[in-house]
Amino acid sequence: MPVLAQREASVHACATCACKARGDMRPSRLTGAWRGGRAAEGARLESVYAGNRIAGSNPAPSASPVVSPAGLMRTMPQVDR
Amino acid sequence: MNLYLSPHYDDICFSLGHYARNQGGCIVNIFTAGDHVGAPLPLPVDRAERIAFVSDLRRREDEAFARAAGLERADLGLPEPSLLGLSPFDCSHLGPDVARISQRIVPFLLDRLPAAGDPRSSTIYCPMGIGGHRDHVATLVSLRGAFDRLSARCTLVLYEDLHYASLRPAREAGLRRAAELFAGYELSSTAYFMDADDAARKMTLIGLYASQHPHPPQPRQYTPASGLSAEPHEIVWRVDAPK
Repeated sequence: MPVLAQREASVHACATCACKARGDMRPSRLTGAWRGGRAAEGARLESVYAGNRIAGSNPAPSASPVVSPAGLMRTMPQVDR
Repeated sequence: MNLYLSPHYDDICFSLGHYARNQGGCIVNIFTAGDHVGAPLPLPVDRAERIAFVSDLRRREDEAFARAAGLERADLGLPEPSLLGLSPFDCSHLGPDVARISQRIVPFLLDRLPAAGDPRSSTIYCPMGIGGHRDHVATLVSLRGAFDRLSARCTLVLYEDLHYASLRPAREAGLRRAAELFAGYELSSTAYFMDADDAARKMTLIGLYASQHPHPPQPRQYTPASGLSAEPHEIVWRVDAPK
């Protein structure tokens, strides 16, 4: 999965510059700073995977059977309340 | 408000124990009736008694975690797949599962989320489905189906399922599946690192779920195989609608 490896390399680079010192900040949204310690914002998946369907040749781990997202989408119900 | 969706009692502790302990909020346990234990425990032979015994044991473990981490908790009472004759890692024919989860969880979430206000003030944390456990994937699909209604009231964040995400092939397959399920949306990751004290504290919390550990839990099982750092960490992915 070379594309993913590249993206994670970019996360690694980001981890250096986006680190925040331990503090008591409680963010209202997910940012690089939080009260629990060091955080790093990183990769975005959309640009990596959107439109790039899972190929049958991609091996799946034994505990993780390949599930077609298209098939999963068809299982989404509309729940009214 | 933080609502942590936990397919099983231990999932938030294992996947987000460090983060949730620091951020606070409410664990929402979904599949709370089951008979699975990992540790060699003497169990009742009678099936109904065994389910009651294990469900009660696991609930008490979760109550201990919630107390230790300062979290609230709620149990939704759905049965695990094994009670319905389904294999936990068989994700075929998910429709009935997704319908059952959606009918239970979406009204629950809508009741608890503020009807108005800044959606960034509330966050739902949903499993990414890494590892392919039927309950995790069905929960993810249910939240995907409800995203448009929920996103007006809250931010949706997916968390990497541990211990599954500690295995690189499982993690990569899970990320691909989540990305395709949310095709057109943007998923942005944030990693939360633990120092030695934080990591030790998380392992203590993980140890509270003693019924689930056939062997003493190891720290490497509870950090994603992200290649980011040797430091233990947890990773979440924020979902943003297309701009």
